[in-house]
Amino acid sequence: MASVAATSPGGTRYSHDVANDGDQLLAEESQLIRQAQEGDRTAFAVLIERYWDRLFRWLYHVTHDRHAAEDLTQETFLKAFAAIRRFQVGTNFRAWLFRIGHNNFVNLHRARVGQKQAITPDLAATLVGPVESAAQREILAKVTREMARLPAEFRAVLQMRIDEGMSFRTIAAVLGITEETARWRVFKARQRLLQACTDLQEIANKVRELEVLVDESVAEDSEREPK
Amino acid sequence: MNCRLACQRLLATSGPRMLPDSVQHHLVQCEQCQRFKEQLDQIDKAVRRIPIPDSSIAKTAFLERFLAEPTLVSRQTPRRMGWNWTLVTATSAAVVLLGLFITGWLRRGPTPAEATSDVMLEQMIAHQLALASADSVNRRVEILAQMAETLDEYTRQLALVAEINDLESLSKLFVDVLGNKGLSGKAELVPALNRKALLEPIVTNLVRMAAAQEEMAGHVPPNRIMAFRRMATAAREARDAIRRKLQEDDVARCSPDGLAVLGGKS
Repeated sequence: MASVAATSPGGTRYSHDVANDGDQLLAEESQLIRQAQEGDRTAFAVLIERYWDRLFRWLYHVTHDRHAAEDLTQETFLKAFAAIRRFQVGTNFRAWLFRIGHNNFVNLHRARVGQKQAITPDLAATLVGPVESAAQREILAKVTREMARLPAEFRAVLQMRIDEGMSFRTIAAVLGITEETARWRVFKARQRLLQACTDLQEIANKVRELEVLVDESVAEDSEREPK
Repeated sequence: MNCRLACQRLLATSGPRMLPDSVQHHLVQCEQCQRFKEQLDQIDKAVRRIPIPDSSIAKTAFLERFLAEPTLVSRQTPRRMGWNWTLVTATSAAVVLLGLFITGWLRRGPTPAEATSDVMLEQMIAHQLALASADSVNRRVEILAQMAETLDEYTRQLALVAEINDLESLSKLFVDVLGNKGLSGKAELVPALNRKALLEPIVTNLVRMAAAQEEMAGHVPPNRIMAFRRMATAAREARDAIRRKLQEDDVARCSPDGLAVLGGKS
């Protein structure tokens, strides 16, 4: 519990897990990992069930290709199972899994340079529920489109930070970059989304003004981030 | 704190982090920055809600396949040892052969030699796959014998055209395939009942391979002789090891309780 909390200090979905299920969930996960290390496929299948959706979601955002994301997700779990004996129980399993997924993505990307598949812009509109307001639907559609235009490395970091609630230290470890680079990418990605999605001129102007302060901000931010 | 600094801090604060007190104080007093924050919150919320395709069918299919595969046995069992070795050898073979093919192709462009190494690569990969899925010692012995034959045949075909380093690598691989962790070792584990029928043809082939490699050593330039001598020696040693085992069986068969040991009929 302590080590995971230290590397991933709460956050959206993750903090929900910790808050609601806490130590029991982590103890259960550790037990499943130990069983998997003994060759128990059923135990590992529970871990697959638990992490499939989040890993697939992240890989889909990075690849923008459903079939590639599915293949990468499968490959990630197979590689994780093959290497599970080397995993140190008690450390961050999710980060380890994402690290394998990222390596798979990098390998695929090298093999498929230039075959980028654009995300379907209308996907947002078709899948948003009826309770959404028109304004929310519009923002979701804009964010979906703008996310698709961001470079993959920016999407990867932003999703880890916003969607997975990972700490910058964990993101850096998963992607093999520095914490400062991770912070800078999140800052720039949010800035770009805000710039593209806002209809308020006053906010658009502010975002443009902030361009010159990026470096300064990232430096300050790095001192505050909990480790 | 001014608006510009507050917005900068808002943009830099993401995920689970709390806003600094100074920014929160500023937000209470500044409507413009409140709107900035609301807009940013909506965007973060939208990022979390970007729709993605449903992958539940792929997940279910994958889980079914994953659970249907045989459970791995613990590392202490002989099967595990055999599997590791198999993997190492097969991977080495693939790497060596792929290197042979690629370096040769890059160096000279496609030639009959490349075509030969290409065919060998295909055959070795086929052996590798067969070995990885082999479910009995007998089957593994058969595949290892086939690997040895492939290496024997193609090293002789490539005797004059392959690079020295590649030839050396192939010859060492041949030694490993036939060695104590390979064919010779696995032959010891073949159940007594099938041993003779399975191993005698292999011994015959090893005799032929040893002779062919020795003969080839007499026809190649001096810097290539060692590779073929090494293969000839390995073939002879494997032949002798398997023969010894078969002779032990003959002795056991003649002893009073030998038939029971070997599972033979009276």
